[in-house]
Amino acid sequence: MSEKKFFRVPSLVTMPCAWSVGPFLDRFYAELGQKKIVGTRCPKCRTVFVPPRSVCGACWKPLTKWVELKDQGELVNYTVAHVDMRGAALQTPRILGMVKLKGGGAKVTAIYGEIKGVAPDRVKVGMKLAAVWADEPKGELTDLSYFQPVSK
Amino acid sequence: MRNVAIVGFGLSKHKAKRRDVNIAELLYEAVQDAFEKSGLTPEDVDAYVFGNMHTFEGVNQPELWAAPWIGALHKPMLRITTGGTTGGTVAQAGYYNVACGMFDTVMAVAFEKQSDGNTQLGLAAIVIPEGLAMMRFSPSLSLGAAAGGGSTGGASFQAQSYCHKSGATQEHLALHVVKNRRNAAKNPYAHLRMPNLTVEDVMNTPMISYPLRYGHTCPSSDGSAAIIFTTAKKARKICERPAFVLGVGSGATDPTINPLGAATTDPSEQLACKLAAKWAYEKAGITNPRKEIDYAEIYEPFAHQEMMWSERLGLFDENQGPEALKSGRTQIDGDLPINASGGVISTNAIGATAMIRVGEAALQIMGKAGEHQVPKKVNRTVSHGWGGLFQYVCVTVLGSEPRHREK
Repeated sequence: MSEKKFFRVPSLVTMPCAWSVGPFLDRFYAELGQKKIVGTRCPKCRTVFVPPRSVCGACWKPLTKWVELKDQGELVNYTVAHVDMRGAALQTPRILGMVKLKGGGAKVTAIYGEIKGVAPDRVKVGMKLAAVWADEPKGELTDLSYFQPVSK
Repeated sequence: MRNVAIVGFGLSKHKAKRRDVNIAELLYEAVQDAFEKSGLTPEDVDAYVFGNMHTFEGVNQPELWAAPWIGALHKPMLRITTGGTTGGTVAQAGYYNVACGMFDTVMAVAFEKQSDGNTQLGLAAIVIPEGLAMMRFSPSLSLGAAAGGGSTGGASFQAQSYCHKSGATQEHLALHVVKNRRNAAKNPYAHLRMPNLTVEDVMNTPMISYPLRYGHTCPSSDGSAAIIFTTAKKARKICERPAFVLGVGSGATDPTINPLGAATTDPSEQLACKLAAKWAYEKAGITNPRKEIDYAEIYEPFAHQEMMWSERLGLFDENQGPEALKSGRTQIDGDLPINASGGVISTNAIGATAMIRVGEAALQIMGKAGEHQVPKKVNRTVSHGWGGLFQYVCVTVLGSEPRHREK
């Protein structure tokens, strides 16, 4: 059986990409920089999209109504990660959740965030959470650092 | 096979960088334009076909999440990618899905947002892995790929062959660019709109790879397009003069610009175009395209290509393309106008471009091309798309009357 050889073609090509986020997400990030979370509401089905969108796909209505949501909400789903991005075991498992923020009415899309300040086996769907902001927000996704249980 | 017609064609504005929108919002622009112009809404559409060359954005399969922005929620959707012919193939798929009776109304959507991504990435991802190793042996291709934003290096071989055979000169190449960019000035959705462009302006641009200068190459555009296909019966209720699909054809031959070795030595021969056109004309019942075709939209990112393909599509005799251009026959007011829209030399959002050739031909039949509407009556058109490793072609024939007798 012959041993197959592969010849390497060394190539160092930088291929930078720069994706436009569009005006709606642009404003979303800017508002995060002010420690505010905003979304847009459909005039027909009343769904509030967070992050905000330009159109409600179900109702085919352009979205022009901006809504400021509270930075508190309810956990609607979660998972516990035991490995990191490369597949290496995490020393401490991390909790990732979907949070439905208050202030948008009955229909609000959930946003994703890390949940801290609670042990994985104590996490419960329905628990009340509050956002923790970065000390110095920069108008980026990381301004909303994580969620933690609302202290009673 | 049912008769199928185009009842709506939507476009976004095309620019070098549409930084004012994200991918989904760019799609919405063309889709909403098609709905507004046809008077239809997403509720009228049964299924979608979608395409783009996603390596150019570095964002794979955007249709997987873009459905809300194109009215496709809860509807069947197919993705098609066929290189530069993508938009044309997506349009053909829109036609197939209605013609076979599967759906009554299908919307075809195509776009490219090249400024978001990286052209090197786009081209490299197509050529790798087979080609990259071989690129060491074809320096012109690599050099060409680095210059002029992409495939100019390869297209220059094609231009050389064509100019040698047909006698097309630098002046002919410049005349082509002048004709189409002045046409583009009449098209509000086009990218390079140059009402005062002269032959001298084009000749003064630097040479990239002989015989092609910077002035002979298309821009890279961000833009989107959408076409609504429906049954002939429904079409007659929607618009006065629908554009009926009479015949389609497509095919590929062995690549001539091929890092793996070229089987065909003449890249201007374009056998795939001759075959695709033959099949499309046969289906359309056209036996003499020169007499029966009133208008053409040809996919020409390089200045020799309109002349070349006008011959391969049977519109002019072999090697008569240059004379047809010089004599003015292909101007908006000529007897066989070509690319009144401005063509690809003026606007090129890769995924959308071949679809726009179909949509623009439809506008001419429908009488809705506005300032770039040709004065002669347009009953039959041919739309052409090209891509791949220089040898993929799709051809679509439209007409003012349906192909099959209606019951």
